[in-house]
Amino acid sequence: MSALSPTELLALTRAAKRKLRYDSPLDPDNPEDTALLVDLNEARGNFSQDKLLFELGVDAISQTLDEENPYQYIVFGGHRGCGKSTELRRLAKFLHQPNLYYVVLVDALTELDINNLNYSDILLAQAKVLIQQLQDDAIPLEAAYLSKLEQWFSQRVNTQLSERQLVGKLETGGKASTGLPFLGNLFASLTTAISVGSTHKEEIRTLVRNSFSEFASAFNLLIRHVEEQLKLAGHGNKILFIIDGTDRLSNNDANNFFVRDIHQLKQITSHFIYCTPIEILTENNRIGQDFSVFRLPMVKIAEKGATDYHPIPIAKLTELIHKRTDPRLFADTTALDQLIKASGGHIRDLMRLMDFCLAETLGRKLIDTDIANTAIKFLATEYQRVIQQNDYALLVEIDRADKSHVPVSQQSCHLLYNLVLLEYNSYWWQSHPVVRTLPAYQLALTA
Amino acid sequence: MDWTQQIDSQHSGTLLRLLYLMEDGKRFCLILAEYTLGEYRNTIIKELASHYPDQAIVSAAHSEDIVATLKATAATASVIHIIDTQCWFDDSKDYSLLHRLNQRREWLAQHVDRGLVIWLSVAQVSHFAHEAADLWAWRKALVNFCQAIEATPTPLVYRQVIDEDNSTLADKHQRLTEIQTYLASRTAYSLADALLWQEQARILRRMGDLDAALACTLQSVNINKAHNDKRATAVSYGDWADVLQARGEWDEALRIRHEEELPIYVALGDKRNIAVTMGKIADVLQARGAWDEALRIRREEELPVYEALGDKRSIAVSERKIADILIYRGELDQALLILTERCIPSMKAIGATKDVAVFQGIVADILQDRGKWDEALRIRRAEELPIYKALGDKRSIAITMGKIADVLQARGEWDEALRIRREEVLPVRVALGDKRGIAFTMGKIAEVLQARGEWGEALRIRREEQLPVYEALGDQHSLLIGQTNLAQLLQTLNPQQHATEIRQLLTTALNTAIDLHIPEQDIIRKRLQALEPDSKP
Repeated sequence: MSALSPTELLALTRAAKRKLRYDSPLDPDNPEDTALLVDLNEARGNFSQDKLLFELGVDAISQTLDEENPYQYIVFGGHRGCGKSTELRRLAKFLHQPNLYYVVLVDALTELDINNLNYSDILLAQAKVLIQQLQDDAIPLEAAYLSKLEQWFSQRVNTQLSERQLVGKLETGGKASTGLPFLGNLFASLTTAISVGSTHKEEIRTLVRNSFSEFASAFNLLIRHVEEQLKLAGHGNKILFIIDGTDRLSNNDANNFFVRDIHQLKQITSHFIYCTPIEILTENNRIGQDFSVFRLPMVKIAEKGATDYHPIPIAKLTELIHKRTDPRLFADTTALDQLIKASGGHIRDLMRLMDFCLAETLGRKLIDTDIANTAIKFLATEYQRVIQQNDYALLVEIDRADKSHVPVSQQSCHLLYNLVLLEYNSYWWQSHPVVRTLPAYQLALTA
Repeated sequence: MDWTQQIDSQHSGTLLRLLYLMEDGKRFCLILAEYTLGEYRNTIIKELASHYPDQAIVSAAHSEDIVATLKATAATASVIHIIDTQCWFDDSKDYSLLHRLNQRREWLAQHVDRGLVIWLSVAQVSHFAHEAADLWAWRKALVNFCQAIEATPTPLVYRQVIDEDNSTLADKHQRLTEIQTYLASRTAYSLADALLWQEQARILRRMGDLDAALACTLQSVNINKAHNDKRATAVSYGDWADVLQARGEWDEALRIRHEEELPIYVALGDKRNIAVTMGKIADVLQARGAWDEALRIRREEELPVYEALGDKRSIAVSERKIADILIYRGELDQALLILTERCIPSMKAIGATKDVAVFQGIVADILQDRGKWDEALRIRRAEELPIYKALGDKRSIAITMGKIADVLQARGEWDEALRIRREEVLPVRVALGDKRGIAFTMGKIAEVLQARGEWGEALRIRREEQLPVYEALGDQHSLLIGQTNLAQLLQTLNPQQHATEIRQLLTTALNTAIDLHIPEQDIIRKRLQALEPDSKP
């Protein structure tokens, strides 16, 4: 490793720190973000995005769409910090092509108040985002296909809600009262009323619920027409809604949304990918009956209980870190290797470990194995906080058992959601590597 | 940040982590801070204000809509501390407040977009991780500012302290045994144990066992690092550098001070220790003859700090070291002026009698160098010795007696000089177990014997009682001086007979002096050249 001057060392440390952010997904349309992107699907084991594409009627090799593919309702989930949002955005970018889909990405977290969310909120948000996108892309639509939605609104909603109830209630005088701009405004008004936590949120929901069939019929008519127009305009053959943020639903809300209200969700006939809490995927077997389930597994750096590591995932994660951290900041390759293995393939934890390492250097030293060990110890101490004393025996039991041993219980699910237990492809479990360094775990091994 | 004693040293590493992760606080960064005592939490927050002058504190208990409050606060604040979070964990509310915060995670990042420090009790942390799993996943770190709530009894071994300078060899051995027995019984080392390792190191260093001192210091460094006590780590790195300096390994000592010790004090804003460390760097530079840089450090980086702190003693010590440099440069009048008109009066004013004696001794050294022996003797006998005797400082008494013997030697009063060294200096060195001091005194005795023509005994002492000790101690600097003096003695005895040994001694001494980058190399080089004027060493 070539010697760095103190000034260079400090500058590179600061640069690395700026790139080690994990509080927002990478944006494939942002050149700075795309420079950091690493395709990790090959490293997740037996996971392949191609299966999800196949489900959507897309042939990964020829990149063609089977337009007769039945409507798909897909749930997409995985551990916190495994890269779901980044993968969804990459998928959206890949699929949003003239010969494939017209992708409408709905971020429920920014459009709505995710607290106490229900199906009608999401559908209204989908309508809003779709209409806005169509306006932005200047897709021409015939008024006849918009009129049903306009009627639904004016007869079912606007007459029932007073001025104070509908924030920004539309004026019929100066503004357009028909057409896409009008529809855009009205759905924006509705979603705003819901997202600001207005006390009239429930009234809006009741109105939507009571006239849902009418709404669904009108929305479906619009969707069919839009798809024809999109094809003519060369903007895609079918619409695909990707909804991110619904993995943040609380357990009750998630069960209501994905199970209880599935009938309503499926009344909208289109293609959907919903981001789903891992709790639902693990605890609720019924979800597989109504959705195609795709779980994004952790990057699989080794097989269960193995001491040798898979070279491709290690290389991919090395690449991920090197895109954020100048390799010259490492005293040798051993330290980074150590960190990758300690992360268990959890990307956010890997970046967290890197952050801890940089903090230890104070921008004045290279990262060596001592510093890596210190960082690992810090992370282990944090995990220690979420583990109860009687969890260690279960962790040891799972680690020692065959891959098929995935005892779903309240206790194990708690450990899974807190990332104490990590799930890998074909869905076997193993405790987080840093957890295995804890004295209590070591003690449980000898019991 | 300005380091303060109100912060527990064991949290120094945690504080540095927080500052690093938070940066300027002007972008979203979530830190969860664990604490046990509310008052101490407030102390930490208060100290962080010097780093984040526009930080704000938000009480979760008094904010009906915490999210809105945070957004409003972010308009004017950088880092926001959230305290009084008990209401989030109220079972009767079913954690709804916490759930809401969790669900607004992205909104927080976008609209608050500041450094957030959420202060949680130990019990609350695991609840937080479970009930706000998404927010927990976005944490930059969980930092620990916990303190023991109940005082635990302190084992006696931690509380006993001996005077390393003046305790007898027997006392030193006893204390070492106590420490070693206790440490051997430990299954895991605490921060208090690091202090015991440090104390061992200091005693061993005083006894001249520098290898063992180095090993103990390293142990202390490792324990402090393991506990993430950055400040204590810096202190033990400093001890390590002190031992290396004593062994003449100045390059490595300087590296440790620059790369390990100083960065921690700078990061902590510990101005006093920055000044102390810079002063020790200047000590090395001084010893190497880099006087200009040493002087710059003393005047520009040491003195101003002590002056700002109003630390008169440290000011006087710095000024005395400036006087040392001036002495090396031959500016004796200027040096005397500083000592007599600034250092000594300062020390008298604050009643620091021992320092008065030390400075008087330096004045006497200068006078001795100028041949003003009577005045030098007067100072030693009438000003220095009485103070050390009153303090019972046996080591300083012995050193002062040795300097009196120097004067007597210079005046040709060899018998008295010899008597003092044999009867008043050497026994004290032996009693204190000061191996280096014993070797030094034996060398001085050899000087007197040389002057009296007792060559055989002088030679024996240098060969058998001085040089081997310096070699065993790894004290390169003292060794090279000893080698040079032995060469000088052999030269006086019979240059032809001892020509090979003389050349070997001077060559070895010169190579060491070159490695240490010290000015003595010029003198040694000249002596070598004098042996064979046409040859180059």
